[in-house]
Amino acid sequence: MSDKKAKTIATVVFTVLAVLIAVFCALPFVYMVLMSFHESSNSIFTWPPKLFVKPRLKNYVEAFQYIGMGKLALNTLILMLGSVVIGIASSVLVAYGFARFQNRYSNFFFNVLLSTMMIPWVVTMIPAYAEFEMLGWLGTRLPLIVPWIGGSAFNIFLLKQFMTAVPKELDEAGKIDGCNSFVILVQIILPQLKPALATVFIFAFMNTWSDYLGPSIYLQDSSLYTLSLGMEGFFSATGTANWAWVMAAGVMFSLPLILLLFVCQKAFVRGIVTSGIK
Amino acid sequence: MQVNAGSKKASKRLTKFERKIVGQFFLYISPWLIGFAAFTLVPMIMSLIYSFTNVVMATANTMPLEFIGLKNYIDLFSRDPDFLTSVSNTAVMAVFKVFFGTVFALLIAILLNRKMPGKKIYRTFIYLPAVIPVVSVSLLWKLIFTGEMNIVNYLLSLIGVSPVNFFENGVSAKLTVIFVGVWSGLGPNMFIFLAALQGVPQDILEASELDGAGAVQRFWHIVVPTVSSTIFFVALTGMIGAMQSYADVKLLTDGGPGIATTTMNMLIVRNAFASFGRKSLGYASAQAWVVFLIVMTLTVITNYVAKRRERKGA
Repeated sequence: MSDKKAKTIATVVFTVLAVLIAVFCALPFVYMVLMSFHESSNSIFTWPPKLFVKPRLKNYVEAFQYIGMGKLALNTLILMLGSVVIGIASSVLVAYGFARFQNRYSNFFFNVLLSTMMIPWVVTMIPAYAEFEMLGWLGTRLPLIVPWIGGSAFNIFLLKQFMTAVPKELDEAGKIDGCNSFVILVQIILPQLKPALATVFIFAFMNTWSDYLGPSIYLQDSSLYTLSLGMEGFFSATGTANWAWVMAAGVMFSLPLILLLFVCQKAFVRGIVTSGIK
Repeated sequence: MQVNAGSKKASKRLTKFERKIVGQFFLYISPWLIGFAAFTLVPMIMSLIYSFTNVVMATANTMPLEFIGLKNYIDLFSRDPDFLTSVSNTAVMAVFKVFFGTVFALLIAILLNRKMPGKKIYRTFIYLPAVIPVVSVSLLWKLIFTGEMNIVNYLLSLIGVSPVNFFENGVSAKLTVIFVGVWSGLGPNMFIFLAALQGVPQDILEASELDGAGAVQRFWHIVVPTVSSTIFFVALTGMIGAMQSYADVKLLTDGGPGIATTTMNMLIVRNAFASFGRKSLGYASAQAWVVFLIVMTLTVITNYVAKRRERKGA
């Protein structure tokens, strides 16, 4: 009986601990939301700091208009369309090649593919910049879209793993019905891959939505700026002029991804765990 | 694989069936082959060539290039204290970030592997920092740590610590970068550990509990051995990423104060676009290859560990 009691106490203690850790992780974001409600920077920098104020929701409208987040979001979505559509379509084709057409060369190329994941981006970034300059692509969106024709090594790896798990008997049945290999891919294999595709889409969406590095190097024309660049630019131009606006913009920028996490946690976990066992 | 085994005794020539497979294989992987050649292989070769020249970005596409031998590499280690500082900055921040990031993630995973009400929600919240865009993350923490009249200093004042200007001091600026890095990386690592913990033999765990083994003993003798290769894996891939830190640090501290938090990659990008003096595109390329060597060394170790893990079937 006392053993059971001890177990209950342990569960309570551990649950409290888990709640504290969860709160600690989420708290900074809550702080961001609270600060976004402030009247101005002056009301943020007070001693003692005021956490709760009467919410000034107008900050969101003003930050959105002043930073021009509509245009920035549109630019981000255009890049995303390019990279997500091209990148995932290529990744599917390449993964299919590796999963279903094994031959004496495939292992070699697969190892090359995996090793590209390990190349530090600084090594290729500088000459790629010169290459894009030669092609006349600087100042356009092309450097952030066209390279996706190669797919992404991580997506190819993940999709290949899941394709290999699809029974080959399904392909055979398709072949007997006279389907060519592309039709087999689209009509037989892809429907089996919905979970993997969801993961690939979510990570592609998240990565392009948040990307700072690529746009900061290749986008010089401010009319093409993405949300990352626009927000950073707004901050460095105005400095600490209005932290409440900066926080409001930060909340708006983060919210789509946070909602995605709450709706599709399973797909997130699948991506992380698969990458963890590569 | 089967084809491979069959072709061992067969001649080097492909059978008709094999040839068809090979043809389709190359057709399907051709997008990657093109992308790889154009945007990875060619830039890599160019980068290696640039690293032996003193070319600057503005004239990168004008031939012929002027070769200066190993001068860039020699300068790097003998005449550039900034580069050596950036190497040590990056390494120090990476080691602490990865150490705490791995240990905390493992402990949290063990905690959340227990039966308790609402653990899925806690997991989601712990993963939350990882999905916030890096620009939002750094602006948020910039506000939290900025100046002296900030929330952290207020909390510190409650326990009698006098205010610190976190970004004005090299040590505290590094600590800030490490802290934010650990915070945003906990979730992904936690999920990898949670997956690995499913391999911990529950029956042995329960038996040892009956035999009177304490929690600490169980942790060291049963849990750690099962997940040890995962710990190595998480730590090493974490190091590979952390040695290439750029956006998170640039946006949070911009490398300051002075160059106290400037990472290797930040310095390389800065040098690459400088148009004068010793700092050039060629020089930055040489620096990039030093990063390459560091990362490759870590990768070789990771692959070795991963292979051993596969053999163990973990």
